[in-house]
Amino acid sequence: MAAEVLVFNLLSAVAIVAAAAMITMRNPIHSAIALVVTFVNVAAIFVMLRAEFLAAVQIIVYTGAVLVLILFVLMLVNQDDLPEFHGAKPLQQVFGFGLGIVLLIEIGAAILTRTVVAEPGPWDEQGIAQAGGHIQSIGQVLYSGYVLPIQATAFVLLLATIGALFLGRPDEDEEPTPTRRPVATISLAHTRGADDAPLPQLQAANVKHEAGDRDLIMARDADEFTSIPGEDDEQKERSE
Amino acid sequence: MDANLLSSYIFAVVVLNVLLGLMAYMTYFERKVMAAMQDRVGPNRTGPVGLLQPIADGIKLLTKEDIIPKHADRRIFLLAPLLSFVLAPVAAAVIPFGDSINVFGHEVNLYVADINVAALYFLAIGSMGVYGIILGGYASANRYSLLGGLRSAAQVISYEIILGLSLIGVFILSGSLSLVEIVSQQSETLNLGPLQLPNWFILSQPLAFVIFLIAAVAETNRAPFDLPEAETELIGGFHTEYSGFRFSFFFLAEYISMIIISLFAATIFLGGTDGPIRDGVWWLAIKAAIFLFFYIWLRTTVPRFRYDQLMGLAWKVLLPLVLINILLTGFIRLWGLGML
Amino acid sequence: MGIEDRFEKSILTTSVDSVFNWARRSSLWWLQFGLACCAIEMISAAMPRYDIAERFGMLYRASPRQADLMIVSGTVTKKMAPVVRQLYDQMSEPKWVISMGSCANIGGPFDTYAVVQGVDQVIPVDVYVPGCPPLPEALYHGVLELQNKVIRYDTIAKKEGSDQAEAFREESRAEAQAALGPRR
Repeated sequence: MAAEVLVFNLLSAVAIVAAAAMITMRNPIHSAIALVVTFVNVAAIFVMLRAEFLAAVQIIVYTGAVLVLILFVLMLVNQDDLPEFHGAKPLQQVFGFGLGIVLLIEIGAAILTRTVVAEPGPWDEQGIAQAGGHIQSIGQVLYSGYVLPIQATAFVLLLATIGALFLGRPDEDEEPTPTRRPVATISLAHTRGADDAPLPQLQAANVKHEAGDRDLIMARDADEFTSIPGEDDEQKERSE
Repeated sequence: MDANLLSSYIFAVVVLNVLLGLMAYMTYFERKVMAAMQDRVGPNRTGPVGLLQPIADGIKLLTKEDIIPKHADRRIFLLAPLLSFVLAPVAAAVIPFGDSINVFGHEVNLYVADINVAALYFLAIGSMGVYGIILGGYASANRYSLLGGLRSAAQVISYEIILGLSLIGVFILSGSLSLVEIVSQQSETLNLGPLQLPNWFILSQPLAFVIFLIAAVAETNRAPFDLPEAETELIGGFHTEYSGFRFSFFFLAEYISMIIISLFAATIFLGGTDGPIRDGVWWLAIKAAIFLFFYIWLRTTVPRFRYDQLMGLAWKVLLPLVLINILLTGFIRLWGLGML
Repeated sequence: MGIEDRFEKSILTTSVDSVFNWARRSSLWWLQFGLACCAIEMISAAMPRYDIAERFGMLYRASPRQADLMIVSGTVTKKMAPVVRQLYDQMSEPKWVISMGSCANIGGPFDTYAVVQGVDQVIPVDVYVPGCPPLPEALYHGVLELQNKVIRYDTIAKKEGSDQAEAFREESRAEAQAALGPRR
């Protein structure tokens, strides 16, 4: 018995410290990890209460899926885009503090005077053993008495999935933004013979145009045309 | 202390040590088998037939300089490889290596724990293993590592779902989540007319077996699903910035999870320690070795999947198949029980 | 660097030193860094016939942080030189460099405005492998020479301290560079 009490105290202490760390850490990723620690300890407490199925499901669903998703979002968000939190206004702080104290007093009173007592439900050890174990009893209860909530939850999840798909669909194809500067095709013409031989004339129609019509310029030398005719010469200066 | 608890602890220590030794030699096994498949020789200089190669690798990694990037989140950088490496062998606590043996008059169970939700425990530890990847990618202060880590994590959680769902068929047929129970059910014989076959679940759930294998390969980030850590894509993915022994944690965690999933697959689908002549842990070893060989074979043979093909495979192909499998298994079970 | 500095020099640990020695040379992980045609020879050295990549325990890794050895194979252009330097800086100690082929040694046949005349202008090189491109056997010879240097470096480091070992390394680099002959 003493070992159980010790283990329970240790687990809950770590869980509470981790939960406190979660709300006080600056870095949101550290908070998420603190939440992982809390969840794992809560799962361990479930195991102590003989609800192993719930413990395993807690780890698989909460830590393994929900928190991973939270971490995904936190990592993809640029820290600078988050709005700054300068702290609540003084009135809000006093109010919040006061309400917190009231809540603490209420919970303390309920625990210390033992007015809030748990009553055992319809499922006791015998009933569970008769159903064939914990998982079987959960299954029986879920799919007989609670079918409607299960179906409703499934429906809500389906709605969420469809909503996510809808929100994430690619935008309609819009017109490609036209280039702000005129674009020309510069063709290096290799002259045979003397350097001042006339450049060959290529038909402009031979050059395939992708977007609009482009001028065709014959150049003798790769450095000759580094700016587009019609633009200022800043580009030519930059390249030289 | 309770004798059972003590023997559990001692057995756990034994299993852990054996696993760690095996994992190091798994790297050697892989290099030799890959070499043989590629008409090469593989390591054969270090020690006789290259047997001391993993030890040389390990020592060299220990003596490398430990670099921590300047802008890295230091605590998480140090935590991530530990998470991967520590959580990997923990899943072996539920694998039954046999029934029980008699040691000095005490009955010692050849498994660390017989939990009644053993298979779920295995899946839970597997799903916690994704944290090493995400945090490793995030803490490296390298945007390509982050992307690689996120891609890897998305792949792992998608295939985790497939892994879990493919096992539901087995649970419907066996009625229990406990691995010891599943192994003992597979040692019965199935009478199909003139044939006398062992009641291995690979025979009753072939589709689930194939889907489980595919999901297991994707879960451990092995080829052909290793795009997030492929060298030509993202250099190293989430473990790019790790050097020295922290890298060796990631490297070896992958091999340990390969071994553990092979043991698990052998336990659930191939009957575990069940064998024709005498039940024993050597049959489990042989079956796990077959799965490990299959992993390496797959790596050398099949080209890599592109990331969108990978995710498309999980969600558009495997998920419907596995749901159909559950449906069919449920119907067949109800029909068999006369409840239809 | 690493954990071996924590061992005091005593009778019990001298055998540990030789183990570290052996481990470092038996498991050189090289950085895939092929620049040009010599890369093809490097790849063919890694192919089944010569199998440099596996037989000596060498493994190729893409991340410089996990590599010990950088085989610079191919022409280093001036555009690529800062990249080479950055990768070298990102590698973790202890690290070695093999310069493979004429272009990486002294610039090869390309005495042009765009080619760095030898990668040793950018990073310190331990072994120069001549050839255009060198045969895989020549690369092997280079790797084995490097293993010898690793052994000598480690032995001197253990016996006389890391300063002496660094001095030995500088000396051997200078010697190798001098052996290249007069440069253009």
